Amino acid sequence: MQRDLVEAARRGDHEAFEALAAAAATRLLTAARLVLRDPHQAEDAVQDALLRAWQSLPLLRDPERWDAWLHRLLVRACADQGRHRRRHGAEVRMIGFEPVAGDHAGQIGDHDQLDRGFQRLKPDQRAALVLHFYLGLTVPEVAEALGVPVGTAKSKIHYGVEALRAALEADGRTPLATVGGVAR
Amino acid sequence: MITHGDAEQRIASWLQATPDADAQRVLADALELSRHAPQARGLRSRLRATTMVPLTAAAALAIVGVLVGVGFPRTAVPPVSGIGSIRGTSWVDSGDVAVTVEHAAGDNGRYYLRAVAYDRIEPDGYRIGDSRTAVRPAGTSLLQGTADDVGAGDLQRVTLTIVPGSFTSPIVLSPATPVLVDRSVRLTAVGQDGYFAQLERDGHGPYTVTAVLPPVGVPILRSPDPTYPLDLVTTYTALPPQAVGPNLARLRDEVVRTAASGGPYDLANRIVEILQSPRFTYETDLHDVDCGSMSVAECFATSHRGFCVQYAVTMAVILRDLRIPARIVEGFLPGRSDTASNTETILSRDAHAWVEVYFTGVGWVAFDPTSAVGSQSRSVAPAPTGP
Repeated sequence: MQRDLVEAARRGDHEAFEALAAAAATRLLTAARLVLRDPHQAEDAVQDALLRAWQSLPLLRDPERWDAWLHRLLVRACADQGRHRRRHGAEVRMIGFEPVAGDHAGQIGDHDQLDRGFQRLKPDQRAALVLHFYLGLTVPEVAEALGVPVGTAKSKIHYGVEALRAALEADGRTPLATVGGVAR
Repeated sequence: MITHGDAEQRIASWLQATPDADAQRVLADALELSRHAPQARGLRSRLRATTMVPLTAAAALAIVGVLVGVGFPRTAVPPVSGIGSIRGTSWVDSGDVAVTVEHAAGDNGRYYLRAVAYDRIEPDGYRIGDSRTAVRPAGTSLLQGTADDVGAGDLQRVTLTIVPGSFTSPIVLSPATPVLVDRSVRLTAVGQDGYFAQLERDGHGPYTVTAVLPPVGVPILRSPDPTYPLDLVTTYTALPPQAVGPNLARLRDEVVRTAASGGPYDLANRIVEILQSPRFTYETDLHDVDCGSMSVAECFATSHRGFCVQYAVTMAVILRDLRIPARIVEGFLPGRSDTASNTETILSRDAHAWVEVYFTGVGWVAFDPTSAVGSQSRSVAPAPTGP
């Protein structure tokens, strides 16, 4: 079904493209918000990625690669937005993270630590983690989306996880450190 | 001790608990833009004939929207409604009330409201180039220390309160040169000396803006030998190599040949006269205009058909080619007035693009080269006095 839509869209069938874009838009926007942490830039990135997808579709040789290709376009668009933000100074409004605890009480405690830790990661590390853990891409697929070798993608994920693990552990020690010799 | 595996699990759980973002608006905007954007040349020549949309002005419009996230000219892309976005805020060709403007008592003026000024002209559009931002607390001088600070000595001041309707962008609308806003704003400026690009306020509610208007009827606009700051020339006369093709060069030469003088005011006025002449047709449906890889301005000089974007880009490119600093601005045309309440209603379809030209000692002066639509004049240039 998706393959048919991609082939039709490649031939210029805009309705087919609309169906593909509609199916992908929510996950793309959520992923972009996670990576960029700015809702306006995330919208710009998704709009850019979808427009580029439409314009470049005739160049997509294998329709089966649609999802991976679209993710790569999104990563590029996010990187462009990141560069734009750096050029435009540090005035970009950062949004708070939105993941919620759901039914897992333990996650309530994780939220702030992960949020802060995630914010400190480099954009490409955030992208690697979002692709892998949120979108569910395999490491080779993450590598393709990021345009890097598989080993590099694996490394980005590994060090991203390590950084967050350290953040979680540091936070776990915080109450003791804070108490120190004051409260007995 | 948290193991690597534990951390992976907690990260995955946390990320997967992210609520879905509402993508309806961005999806609608992206699809609208893509409807008018050309697809790349495909692998089979047959596809080229059936799917390639020529680089029309409509396509260029879409590219502009992506590049800057801002814009959109009135009646933009035909034949359907809809248009680009201002940072996610739909700007639709419709009768929606974009903003309502409350005028001070005794102010009967109706002003073009500028949203963004663009310094970079590309072959297929325009955008804000390298820029920096500065926060200005509420009520402080907006342009102090920037190159656009022309001083407010003898200039006319006007104060308006803007009440957002469907135009909910944080971008501040203002006539001419804004000098005060009643809330904290972020100023984006370009060039080494700092020229205005846009203002964004905190929040999305109503705001009051004070602006100074360029002088009307000042002979200095006909200064025959302007000297410009180097940064101004560098920033606002730059053109991509392919901007001027043979047809635009002919148009430029005609402007020079037939203008009242070689000064920037007369050259700008002559461009407006020529573009507003019947030789050029205001049209929004440009899908049958095939300009290949021509620039927007060359395409317009060739096809003689377009809407405000094509008119504005063409004027700006000619001026820049003549080494006269010019920039493209977007915003809204004056709206419909209610004299009883002294308010003005501006609709989404009043979104527009025009040109500002720099005059030494005066600052930026607006010119609107778009052919009159209906009976409303599109000229906002002041009439000079003197010879």
